[in-house]
Amino acid sequence: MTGARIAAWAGYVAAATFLAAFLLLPVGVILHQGLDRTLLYEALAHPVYRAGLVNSLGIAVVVTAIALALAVPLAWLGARVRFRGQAIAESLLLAPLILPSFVGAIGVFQIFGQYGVINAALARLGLCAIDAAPDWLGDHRFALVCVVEALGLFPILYLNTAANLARLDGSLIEAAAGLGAGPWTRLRRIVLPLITPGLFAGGIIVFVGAFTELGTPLVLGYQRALPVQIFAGLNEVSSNRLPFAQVVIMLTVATGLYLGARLLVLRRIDAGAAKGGAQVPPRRLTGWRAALAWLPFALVIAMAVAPHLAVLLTAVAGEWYRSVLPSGWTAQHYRDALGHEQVVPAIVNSLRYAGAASVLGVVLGVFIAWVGTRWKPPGWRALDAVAMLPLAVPGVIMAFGYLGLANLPGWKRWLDPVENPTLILIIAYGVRRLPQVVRAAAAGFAQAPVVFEEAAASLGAGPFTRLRRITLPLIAGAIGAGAMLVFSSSMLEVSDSLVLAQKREFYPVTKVIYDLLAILGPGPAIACAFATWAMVFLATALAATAALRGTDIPSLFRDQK
Amino acid sequence: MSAAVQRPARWRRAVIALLPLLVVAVPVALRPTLPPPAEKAVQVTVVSPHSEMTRGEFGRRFQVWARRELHVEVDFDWRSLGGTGDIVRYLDSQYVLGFAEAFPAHRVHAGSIASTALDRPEDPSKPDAGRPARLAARAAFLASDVGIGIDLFWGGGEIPHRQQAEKGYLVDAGLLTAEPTWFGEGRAIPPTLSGETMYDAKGRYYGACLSSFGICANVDRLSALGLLAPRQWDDLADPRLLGATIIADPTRSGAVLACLERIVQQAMARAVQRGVAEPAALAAGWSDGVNLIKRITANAGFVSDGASLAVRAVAHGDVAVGMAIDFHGRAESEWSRASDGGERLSYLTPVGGSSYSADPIALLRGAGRRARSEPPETAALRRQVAVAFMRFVLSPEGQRVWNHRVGTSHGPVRYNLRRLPIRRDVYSTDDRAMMSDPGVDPFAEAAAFTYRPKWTGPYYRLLGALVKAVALDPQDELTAAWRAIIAAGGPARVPKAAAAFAWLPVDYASAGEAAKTLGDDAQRLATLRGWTVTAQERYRLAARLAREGR
Repeated sequence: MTGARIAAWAGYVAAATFLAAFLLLPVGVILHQGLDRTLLYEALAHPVYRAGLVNSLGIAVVVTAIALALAVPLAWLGARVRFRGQAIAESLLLAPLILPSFVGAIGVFQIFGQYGVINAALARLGLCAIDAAPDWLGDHRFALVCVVEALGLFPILYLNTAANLARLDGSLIEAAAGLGAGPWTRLRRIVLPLITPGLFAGGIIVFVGAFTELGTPLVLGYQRALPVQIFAGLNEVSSNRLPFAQVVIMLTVATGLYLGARLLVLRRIDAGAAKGGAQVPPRRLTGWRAALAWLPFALVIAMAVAPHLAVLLTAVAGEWYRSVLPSGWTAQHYRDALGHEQVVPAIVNSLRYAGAASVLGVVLGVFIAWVGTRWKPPGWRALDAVAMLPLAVPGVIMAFGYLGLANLPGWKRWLDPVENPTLILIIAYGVRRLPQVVRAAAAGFAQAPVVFEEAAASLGAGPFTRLRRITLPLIAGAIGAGAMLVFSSSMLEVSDSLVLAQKREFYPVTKVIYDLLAILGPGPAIACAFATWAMVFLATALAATAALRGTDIPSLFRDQK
Repeated sequence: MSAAVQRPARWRRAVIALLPLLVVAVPVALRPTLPPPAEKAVQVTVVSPHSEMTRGEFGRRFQVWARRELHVEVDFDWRSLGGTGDIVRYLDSQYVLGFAEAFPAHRVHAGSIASTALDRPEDPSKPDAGRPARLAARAAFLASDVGIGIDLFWGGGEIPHRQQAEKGYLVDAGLLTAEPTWFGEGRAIPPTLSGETMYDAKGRYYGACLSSFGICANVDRLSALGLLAPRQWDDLADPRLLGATIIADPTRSGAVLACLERIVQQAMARAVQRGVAEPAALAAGWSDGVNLIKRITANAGFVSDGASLAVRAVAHGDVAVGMAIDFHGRAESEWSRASDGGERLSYLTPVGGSSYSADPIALLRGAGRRARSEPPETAALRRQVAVAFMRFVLSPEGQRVWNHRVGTSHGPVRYNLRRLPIRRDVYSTDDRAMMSDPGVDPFAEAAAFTYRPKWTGPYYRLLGALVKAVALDPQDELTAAWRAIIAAGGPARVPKAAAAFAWLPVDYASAGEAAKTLGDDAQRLATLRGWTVTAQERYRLAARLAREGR
């Protein structure tokens, strides 16, 4: 066995051991309590919990449809044309990635509440009295849950699609055009089949993500959804084991859907469809054509950044009640938030946790993707499937799993989150976004032509040289996207942060925001002020990374340098 | 990279790359200058669901007090584990682990150390061979000083504290003997107030402040609906409020369940006042009370998991009316006042419908102990300081922090806490002049309601499970039925529909039997599912009957 082969096997064993210890074991701790025939029967026989399961699947279907409808045309347009301000438009589309979810809820309420922005605007326009305006939160809850979730999740799909479109082999499209295929035929017969792996990778993440999403339905008061029912059960004052059985059901359904979709879709992917040399040059638009191209972007951006704007304004609003815009302004909330003694230590903590988690997530994710696309040793499917597990387990369940793990005899000494949660938080954050990193990297590998590596191999390059010199540069975009995704979602992660960080000196940013929220009276405004800081920080961090690489934010995620 | 993306100029790139540092610099510049932590400070560890405001205000005050009175520097380690339920689960797991480590011989039975069932005599009909070993483990635990590295448990309500005391997690802090003038009938802290326990007779926990439940209402929403501010719980079931109220889930909050229990007790008290003989009055009150809760739930447009969310939803006008913990209601009412001073959120305690219960502080078993290698005197000092903190919280000086205004000599430094002191002697005229809520007199208001543990105490858990099974879980069907009944002109116009709507699986006479079935996990789940299934059927039937005008 060559040295490279030994190293590859060592890496394989290490990755498998890591996933077994920090993914299977915590999930196992939870499942252990739910794998009980009586409990499973009760969870399935209960009509309200069955309805919760059906509703959650309904949410997932609608959210995926909306996200596809938003992301694919925009990504296609973004790839086919160039217009002034395009980089800004595409950057703004990614805004949902930097919004802390529970603060976003404050924004959603401010917009859709009875006395919120929309109804105030309707009243202002003379369309109806504010008290007779629609009860958006009460009467259109399912729709609202779907729209809010879709707006939060579509950037993942947009990034995937855009990255895939950028890797498209232009010569195929040109050939089709040369043979007389019109734009629609080209889209249907050439482009869509070619970007299917990317669409699938993004689509399944959105689907399962929406299926297990807790925050949005919880905050909007949509009770009959499985994750909300599980959360409510876990939070019961007296102990209740039913939620653990419901977790088993949710996990089974999510895994089944994922594997089923993978079998159905990925089987049909043409392995030869890979990135080619020539790209179709995009058309440069000016004048009214550029304005027309801006329009769909502007519409989606307006919806996507509305919660951010509401959070931003809440942080500086003296009063915001029955009016379109705040009626008074103050800087006090910023002073209270940023001057808080816990803020600076929390920022330092979060940077440490998120930075280390990004490294962990990317190293692990890219390796697992490489194993599954290039090497395929025995058991690679199992490794790949396990890496997808975080998708199917809601964050709060994982958090309790980690807590259970840390309490196992022998583990407590070095993992006890009470003593120091740094290690367990880094692992939890890194593992949380593993599916996205693996899928993005796998899509990158799938479309990076094997021929280059084969050529290098024939010239005597070893596997690591090939990985370092050929493969990794080809999928740098996917890796960059993965790293930034892990970093920003770790900075904003809620479940693990609330459950695992128990000592003040280890609080990350989100836990401090949560604490600020509890201040009577101005709490939400102060929390919004600190959340705005977090959003600005993440935005500037993305901009700085892009500037250092000499590119713009959207290209960070799909750049092929 | 695509050719269309232009490389920004080098200086521009440098500026953009520095931006995140600039953003981080802002909070660093605004950072408050804190005195460096004193060397040799005694660290007190407190687990508490209290908010950062409460912890900060009491922590700072006590540090000054301890420096002055005890000549020690104190450093607090606040443990935030989420809600009271999370804290209880944590205590359970940690004491089992701690005990197993300290008593390897009893390790197998460590799970039984907190089993209060062992305190009762053995049921002769069910001989239990493992009982002596489990009893031995529990006895060893109760005689031990097993610690979990935490000294105090503060907040969360009287019932959780009572339960932890019975499990053996809380120990006597000795304040009843150390401060005999504070506790007792006619003294600063009475043993009971409106039937509620203010402190444990064995000294294991002490009420630190009072809390009650009330109704908050959005003035603008109410006037649009043409309603006056609700004064009683019954007003929350007003058909005109359909979809415009918010309730909290009693299975997720002990405080909310306690509030619902008082709604049932109020209905019972009313039946007694009507002159009905007590057994029949209690039965009627049970049915009236639970059905009132059902109508309130049917009206609810939102179910919230936290009590504070409910108040904010009302303040913003997302709903018109909600139930609220007193200090949330009062604080939000003040905060949401319009710039012209007009009131937007009203809060009131329903007279005769709510009691004042104690929110305690307690010393945990093994308080003061940390690493085994530590000298015993270090642990003893830590325990002493922890008890001193309890004493400070209960002293007149500490009690004033709860409700005196920011800036007054005894008040908090940053935030008005708006909670009510438990000591009668800090409601003097001088004190009231400095209080945030000078008009509130819990000791007078408590007279309008007497909590009778006997009436509903044994069915406390049953009530929560019942409300979840017949009101919250089938809320969609419940609301649809209620909507149809209202559309048909109200319950009186469609008596058959109203009867189907008012179905309950458990009457007062069978409550004891039903409560027993809830002990066993499998049986409990099957029972609750059965209730929900029947409830859904009854509510669908009620909706149909109402539409048919019957």
